[in-house]
Amino acid sequence: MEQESPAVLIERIAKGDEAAFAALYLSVESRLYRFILSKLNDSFEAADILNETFLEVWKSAGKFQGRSKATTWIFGIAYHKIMDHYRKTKPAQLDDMEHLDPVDESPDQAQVMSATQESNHLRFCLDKLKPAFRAVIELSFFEDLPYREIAEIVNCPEGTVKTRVFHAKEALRHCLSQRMGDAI
Amino acid sequence: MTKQPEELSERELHQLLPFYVNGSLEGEELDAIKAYLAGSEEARQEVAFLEQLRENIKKQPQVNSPGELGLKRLQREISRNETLRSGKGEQASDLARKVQLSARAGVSVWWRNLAVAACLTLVVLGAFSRDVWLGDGGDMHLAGSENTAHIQVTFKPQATEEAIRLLLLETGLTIKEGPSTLGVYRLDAETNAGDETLDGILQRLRSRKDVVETADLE
Repeated sequence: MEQESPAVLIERIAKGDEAAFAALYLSVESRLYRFILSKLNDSFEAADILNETFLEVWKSAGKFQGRSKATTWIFGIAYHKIMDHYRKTKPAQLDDMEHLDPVDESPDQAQVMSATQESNHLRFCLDKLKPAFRAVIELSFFEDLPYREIAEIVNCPEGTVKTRVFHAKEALRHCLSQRMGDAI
Repeated sequence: MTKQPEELSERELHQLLPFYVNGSLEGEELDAIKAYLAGSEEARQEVAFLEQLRENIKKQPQVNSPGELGLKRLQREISRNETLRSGKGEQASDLARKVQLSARAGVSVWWRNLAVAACLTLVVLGAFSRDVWLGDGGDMHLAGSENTAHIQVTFKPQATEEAIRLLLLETGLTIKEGPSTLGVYRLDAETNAGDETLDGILQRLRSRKDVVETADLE
């Protein structure tokens, strides 16, 4: 049987169709949970935000107007819930959203490439990114989304997305370089 | 205003590289990046780094999502919310039934008496007509001509019926009406309590933030 698109499912959900809700949940849940967990590092909190996100989808399906992709809309809801969570629990981590520590010198390319392959180094460095930066990296490199869609999800200008990805990538490069330096 | 790809600075082109690597660029932007890469060794090195970064981010360990369990949780909550919205008296009688069952299991005579009183109150009130809940302006108010002070309560969506039941028993309250379409319950104190006692009960309700969303004297 042909799988219905998320947009069609949302249309049905708006009419109270629980089967469509289950189908949408099963088609998006795993990706969405990964996205949420990558920013919270707490599986219980991530499960709660996932739950809240889908409850919002259920309640607000009628408001979805199809101006963006359905998955973009759902990721956007999740992103805002994550940021609300940070505002309530870890406001310090949201300070200075556009700033990352300056990168001093240009790290050695071969060293960085090597560190990137080390899963534990990469995870450590990803975890050090502030939530807004981690989000755009995940959306760019795990979800492979265009910058326009990412801008819709995180509700900021397209230029800001590009700048955030640029700074996040530089911070990762620097962190990976340091990790390799420490390991030597 | 959006710039044409041929107007992009080197920095702007550089910032598009991640989206070249993830395959989401198209049209003139893609052509501009291809031209940029053809003429810049630094850009090609950057692409190699980004490709490896992307590949290894995708290789990060899979996470176990809530899956079917998460769906069941959602379905329970949606069903509960729908019931709260449409059930009104149904919920109250269910609660009363549970209170009665609890009394039968009987932890103490005091609890049993209280539970019986709760059931009686609900049965008597069931015969009353309810003509209230939303004013013209959408504000909540309850009809009725009694002089008795009442407490209006809303419960947390995640509060279980068991937790609500226990709290009502502990505080000597019975459900007089509710829930309204906005989930508001109207509660009566078990005894002829004065204002001071009601204030005390109110404080106890408000302190149970895990169960009670709002509690106000009517």
